[in-house]
Amino acid sequence: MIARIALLALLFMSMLYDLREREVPMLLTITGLVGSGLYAILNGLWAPALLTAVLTLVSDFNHRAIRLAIAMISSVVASFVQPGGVLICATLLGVWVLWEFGILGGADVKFLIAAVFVLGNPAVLIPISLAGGIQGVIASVQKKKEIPFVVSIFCGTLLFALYPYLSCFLGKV
Amino acid sequence: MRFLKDNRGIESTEVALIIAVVVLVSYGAYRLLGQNIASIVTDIAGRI
Repeated sequence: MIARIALLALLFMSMLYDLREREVPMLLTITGLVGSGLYAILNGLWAPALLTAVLTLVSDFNHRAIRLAIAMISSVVASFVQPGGVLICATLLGVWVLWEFGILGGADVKFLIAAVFVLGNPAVLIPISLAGGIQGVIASVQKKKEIPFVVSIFCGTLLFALYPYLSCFLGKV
Repeated sequence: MRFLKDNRGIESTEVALIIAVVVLVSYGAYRLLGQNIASIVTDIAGRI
């Protein structure tokens, strides 16, 4: 519960920075990634946490083909070492590859990984991407070319974190 | 480290829309096939 509140607070602060300055301070992104990685290790998700460390190190290698090959092999190994984390490992690889090809920004990817680690469920990407889609449609209607995606990450994570309470409340109404 | 130093965000609205579609399609595929995939991975891991 405390970790979820800390994650939401971090995302809220980052969202404010992103809206105001179109940039998120490195301190916030790295705090989110490292803190959530430690939380994942404490919760037994050590293989995905280790995979994140490997993907971070691999990003410095010279050739893209080598980076991709090592990332994929590491993800497969992590999945076999800890089969319970196979979906999380696949998600980590997916968002990292999107970053590698320049489709997602580094700040977005670090926050997505933090959300997956703290909530322990890659399904959090569904409300986040839905919020991103809605944000994209609104921006397209307003003829804007750029969107602060951290807003979608915050809204999607908030929705996912509150969903059990909301569904319980709505069930009683 | 390049990954840690990169603090860019998504810049284009099209990317957000494409990601939304891809995630929804992936989720649909997982709902259909996910249980089978998980059991296959667990089976192979057990054999290794």
